[in-house]
Amino acid sequence: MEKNILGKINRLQIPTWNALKINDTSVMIALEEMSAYTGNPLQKEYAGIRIRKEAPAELRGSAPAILGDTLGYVQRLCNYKLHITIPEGFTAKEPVILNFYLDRDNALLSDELFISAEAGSSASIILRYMSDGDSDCFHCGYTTLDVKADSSIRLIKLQMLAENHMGVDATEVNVEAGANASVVLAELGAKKSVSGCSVQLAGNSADADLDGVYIVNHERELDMNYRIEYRGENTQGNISLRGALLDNARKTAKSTLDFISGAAGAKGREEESVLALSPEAVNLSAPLLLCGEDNVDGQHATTTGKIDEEKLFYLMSRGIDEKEARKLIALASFSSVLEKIEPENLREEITASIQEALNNAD
Amino acid sequence: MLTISGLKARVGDSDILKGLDLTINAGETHVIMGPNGAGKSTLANVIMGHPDYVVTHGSIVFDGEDITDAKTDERAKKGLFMTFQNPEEVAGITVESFLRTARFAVTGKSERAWDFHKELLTLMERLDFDESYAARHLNIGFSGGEKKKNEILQMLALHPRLAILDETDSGLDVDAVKTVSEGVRGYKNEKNALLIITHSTKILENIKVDAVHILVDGQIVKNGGASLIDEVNHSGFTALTPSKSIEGVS
Repeated sequence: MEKNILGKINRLQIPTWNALKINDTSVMIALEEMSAYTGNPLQKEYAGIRIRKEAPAELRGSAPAILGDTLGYVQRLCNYKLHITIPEGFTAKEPVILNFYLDRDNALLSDELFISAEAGSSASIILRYMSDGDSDCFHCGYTTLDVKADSSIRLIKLQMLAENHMGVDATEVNVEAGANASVVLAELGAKKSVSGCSVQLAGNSADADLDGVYIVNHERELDMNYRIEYRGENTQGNISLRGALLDNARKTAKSTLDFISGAAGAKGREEESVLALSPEAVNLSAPLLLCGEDNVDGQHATTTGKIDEEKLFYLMSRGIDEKEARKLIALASFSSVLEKIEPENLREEITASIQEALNNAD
Repeated sequence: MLTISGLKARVGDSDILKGLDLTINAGETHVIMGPNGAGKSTLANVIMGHPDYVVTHGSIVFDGEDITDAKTDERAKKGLFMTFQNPEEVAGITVESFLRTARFAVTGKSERAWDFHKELLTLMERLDFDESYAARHLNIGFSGGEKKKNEILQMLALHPRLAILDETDSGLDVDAVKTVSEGVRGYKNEKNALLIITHSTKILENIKVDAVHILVDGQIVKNGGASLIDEVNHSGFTALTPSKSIEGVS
């Protein structure tokens, strides 16, 4: 029997009317007893990078408010831990890739991952979550990314769970002075996916881009809650979401720019561009701009659109049939985020997944 | 090749084309001239099947087939092509990728990527178009002139039977007009045809014109040979259409 074991999660930082049904969400799953995850997501060693199957020794601080509920559940259910450290001054030549695959033998995954980018280091980390649709699977995960001073790190999370599975995932990012973090969250699967991310720009001149790319089709549901907190002076952080909604999909996007007192000179922008390809799809967006500091520059913009008919005519005038032209235009709307995804084969995989969903659209 | 008979068309509640006949044969270059608002671009869009333009009367026959109700992509596959006054910008697809997709769509034949690439670079060189633009997203960040060159590039790559140039020379400087004009001459042969829509005559200076049609208020009011261009240049449209009152044209 399905139970709401996760309670309310992905809470909007400043709640609005309950009637809007956007303040939080929950996940109903039939959860059996958690067993160990015996999959092998890390399929090779990476020279110069330290990887341990345990949490860091130092105590973690409290989680950001919007992710606290999820962290509590992940810690309670946790059956997989990993701590990746990019040593001080080290530049990784290839991305560190973890492939989490859920199937009959590993139907439940609650992973708590720690990524530490030491001062002056540089690396890309790719986390892929996939599942076998023939089994009854559930993923619940929490990633903590510490980006120390003057380091640069790119984290790409690719959620491609089977359409009958639930996924809950949260990412906490802390960026120190002069460091740069790029987080790309690709939400492409699951019956219902709950995705949260909170980035704290703690040090002066810290910089972060949080990009979300999603496609929601059929009866699927996606709930996103993304936030950047500006604490340091002259920090810069942008949230950019690109997605398409098809069929009877339901999508909620909560994005918050939170300028804390003292973050003088901080700049931030949040934008979302949604392509609504079905009149039945439900599209909810809640952009929040919170200013505790006067000397900041914060902007937000949300656009919801259909396929541009003039573009459609242009492409069709070159012989491209209507369905293919619609697909090209829809795919084009993802380009600004897809361009950030490397290596190329990962970008192609995500592109192919989007194309497949568009191909199957009514 | 193209026979338009008694064509009437409207956009929304406005009747734009009010009974228009036009025949273009293979090997011919026709020019449609007329003042602003005459219906020149409407004619181009109606021939190409823009969904906003509704044909209320008449027919369009291309290569013996009635295409009045055909979808735009079907018209393109039959060999119709139109350059746009304001070419659309499409992020995420490069000029080369777009052109390969389009060429496959109109020919149905797959080509080796390298062969297509080489041909494309040759065409771009002919148009004095920097080859780096092949890898740029379609019309994104292009200047007005570059967009027009890109339209001509597409025409050359897709080998249409009938190309309609809708104000291709507008907004171009003298050198760009010359380059575009040379590109148009390179396209033209005895098996295809051109319909050039313009209200200036710069682009026509280096092109052999077979017929000129003056379009006013949705109807062709005068037909003639290339000499009609000089008459327009000399006397304007008003003098050529004494029975019509044309406002705002000097």
